[in-house]
Amino acid sequence: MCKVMPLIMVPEGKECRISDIHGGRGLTRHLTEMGFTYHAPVKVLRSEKGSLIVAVNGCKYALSKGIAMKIMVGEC
Amino acid sequence: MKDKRIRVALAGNPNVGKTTIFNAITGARQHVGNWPGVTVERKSGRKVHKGIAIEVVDLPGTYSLTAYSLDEVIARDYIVDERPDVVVHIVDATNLERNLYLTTQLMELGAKVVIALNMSDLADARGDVIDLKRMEEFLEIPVIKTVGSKEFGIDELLDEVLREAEKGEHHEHEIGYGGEVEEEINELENILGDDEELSKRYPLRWLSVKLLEGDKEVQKKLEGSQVEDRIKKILDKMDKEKYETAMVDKRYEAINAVLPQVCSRCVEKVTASDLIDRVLTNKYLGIPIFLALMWGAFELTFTFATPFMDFIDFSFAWLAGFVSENLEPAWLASLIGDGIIGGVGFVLIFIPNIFILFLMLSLLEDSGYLARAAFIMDRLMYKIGLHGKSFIPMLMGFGCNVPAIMATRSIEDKNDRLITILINPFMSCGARLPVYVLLAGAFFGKEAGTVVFSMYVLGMVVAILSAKLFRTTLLKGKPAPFIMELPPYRLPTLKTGIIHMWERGSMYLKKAGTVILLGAIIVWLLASLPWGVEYGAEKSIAGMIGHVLEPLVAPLGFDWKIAVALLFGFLAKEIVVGSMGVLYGAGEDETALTESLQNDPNIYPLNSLGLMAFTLIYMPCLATVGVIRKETGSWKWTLFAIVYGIGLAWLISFMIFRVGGVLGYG
Amino acid sequence: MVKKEAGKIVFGLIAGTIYVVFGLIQVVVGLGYGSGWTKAIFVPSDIAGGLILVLIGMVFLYGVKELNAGINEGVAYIYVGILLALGFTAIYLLIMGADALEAYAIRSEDFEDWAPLDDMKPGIYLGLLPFAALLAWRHKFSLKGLSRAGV
Repeated sequence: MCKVMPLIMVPEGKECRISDIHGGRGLTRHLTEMGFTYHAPVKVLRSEKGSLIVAVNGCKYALSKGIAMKIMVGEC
Repeated sequence: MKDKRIRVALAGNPNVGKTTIFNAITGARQHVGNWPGVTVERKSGRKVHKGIAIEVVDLPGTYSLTAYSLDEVIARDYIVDERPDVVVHIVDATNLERNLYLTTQLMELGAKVVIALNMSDLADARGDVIDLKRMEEFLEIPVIKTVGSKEFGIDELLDEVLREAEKGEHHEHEIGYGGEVEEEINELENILGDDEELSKRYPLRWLSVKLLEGDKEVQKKLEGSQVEDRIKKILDKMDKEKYETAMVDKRYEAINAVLPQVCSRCVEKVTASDLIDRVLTNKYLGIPIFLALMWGAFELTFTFATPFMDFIDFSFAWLAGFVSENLEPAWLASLIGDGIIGGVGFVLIFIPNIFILFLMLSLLEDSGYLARAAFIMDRLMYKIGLHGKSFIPMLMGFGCNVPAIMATRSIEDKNDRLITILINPFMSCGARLPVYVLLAGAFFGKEAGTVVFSMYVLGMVVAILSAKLFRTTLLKGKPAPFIMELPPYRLPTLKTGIIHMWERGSMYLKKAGTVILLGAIIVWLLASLPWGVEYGAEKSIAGMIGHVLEPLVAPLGFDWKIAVALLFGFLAKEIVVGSMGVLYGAGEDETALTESLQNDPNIYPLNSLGLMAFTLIYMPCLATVGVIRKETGSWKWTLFAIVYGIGLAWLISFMIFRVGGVLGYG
Repeated sequence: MVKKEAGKIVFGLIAGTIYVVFGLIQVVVGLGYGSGWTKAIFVPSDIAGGLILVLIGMVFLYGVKELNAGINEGVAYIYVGILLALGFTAIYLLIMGADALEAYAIRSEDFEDWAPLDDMKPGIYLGLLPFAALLAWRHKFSLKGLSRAGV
């Protein structure tokens, strides 16, 4: 089992599980509602100097560094 | 019930095909307006099904019904306050888990829900097996399979809607939050029950749940209630943060308990969309492909539109000639020929241009590509202090700034949105093109194309530098983190493309029929009064106004005629050309105007270049000012946009004129 | 599997090379070095158009590179390359159609001497190559393919 790290550090093509979101109230809930739930598998499809494309829960999202830093993942 | 209309609201996540279902139900009988108080588009339509009139309202696409964005508040308020008879929840069959989350919220709101399981053909093709019967049993909600793009299942859906509307009371659906949370909900519910007014209007359980989640909009609903203080006291004691995510998790738990029993094999594999994304978001090829597509879109816009523009041009020239020869008295012929046909006609010539550009953008958007473009451009946008989401409105600005500024509402952060709005008018919209075409054509001969292109570049540069300037001075800070769904690629259809194009482009038509028509008449009046002066001469009122303004623009090398043209251009930038036609005594005929411009000693290549730049940058047209006011909700920022634009336009034209003069181009 | 993709590799290599070469020629002509033989093969003086041809070629070649490295998803580049190439062929044909309207229906002065071949360019006739490929692999491009899993 690997250690917990922010989503932004996950290399392209790897799949991890979400362990925590440090988002402040509104953002955390919004992300959760979009499918970034606890323990949900998240796959990094593209990672380009801060902008990511991830697949979560059957949907693809583009997100910026700011958000990718707040989503913590583990168990790659 | 029989004689009453049934009101139906369409709810659903973004990108689930809500609009196609809406179009399939209502066909052409649609009405596009605004939601009260905000400029978010409100689409409604009618349909008579089995002799019963149904009014359908398309709610904004949302992931949930909290108060995260304006869209969510609108959708929720409509369901809570207007109480539609039935809410049709459109669910993407290929992604049940996230879609059903909204269902849980609709259930809590106490709405009568019918689920339209849309894109079920895609789910079938993927090999998913969804057990409708079990789904209906578990959710206690009727579920109908639909395929919006093929208009499949729409009749069955409407049948079900009627059946549901006929039903009397329906029982409340509940999601158990368990233990401690339930206790808190009960406590709040009991207190809220003391306020009869509230209990009549809202489901109490829903109110309690939302209060626990710390929903500010719901807190506002309590204002002035007798129970407000007691509720506040309880809420203040609690650690709301803990509840907030816990409750979301509970809802997902409820969904996940149901899902495996309803759907088998509902997991996504590598799809064609993933494959396409591999190419289009490629590290090296992504940006070049994007630029190539844009180049193609613009090339098609400008060349493909030409014959249609020429056709409109010929028609109006013929009409103007016909009017001036056959109409009596002379002043009426002049009003209609010189004023109206001259002014409005020239503007209408550019309609093919604007419509084709919007059609291209619509097709790109419907295919799902524009969302990728936002991702590709995110890094560049970040450098100028914005992010990828600001990019789509900027692109749309090339068509018309009004729908472009309205499109900024998808940006959640206030400052990001404000900056995107403020720089949008610098994206050179279709209305400015006539000005460039006329002046560049008259003074730059073979280089005209390059000059026109450089105006577009100048606009972008001004927009970028302004964004950077605003970010470092007025609206300090970093762009807010953004997240954006990338919908699966779909084959865009010409039909929806044309509907989209019409929605955006028709604003331009409306403008031509109203503001520009009015402007043309005013210009004609001012140029013809007082009675007896030669049309557009220095002695006319227009001439007098021009002479008053002349000192202001003289440093830019503009004479009184240009001053008048620019003044009227406030109404709409196309009027700059129309009024020049009037003032240079050429009317509608473009070649005549070109000739009289070339023969006028007061306008020559250098100051015509300055005039183009001035037209590009100076204050946004009336319609744009209106939409800036509405979207920012602030006169202060609207005024700022005007003053900033005029100041900058003056400065840049001045620099062009002076530097060009020093370099010997005077 | 390897055998099956061999056709795509060969196609990608040929189409990629041809597009890049014609694109480069078009850029050179655009810079003002056109001559008789470039006119004979209808290369216009159009730098941007040339760069687009080069880009399409690069997409094909990138696919070849990935397929060669054993990455099966590389076929995506071949398919997207085909669509991109045909997209631009369509754009050029529409422009040709618009000019024809201008010349024959509007009878505009600027188009008095216009002939359809004036608008002929590599972007159009090279399109035959990906068009043939599209026909050969058309089942891959069905609407179902957009949603269906797998390659």
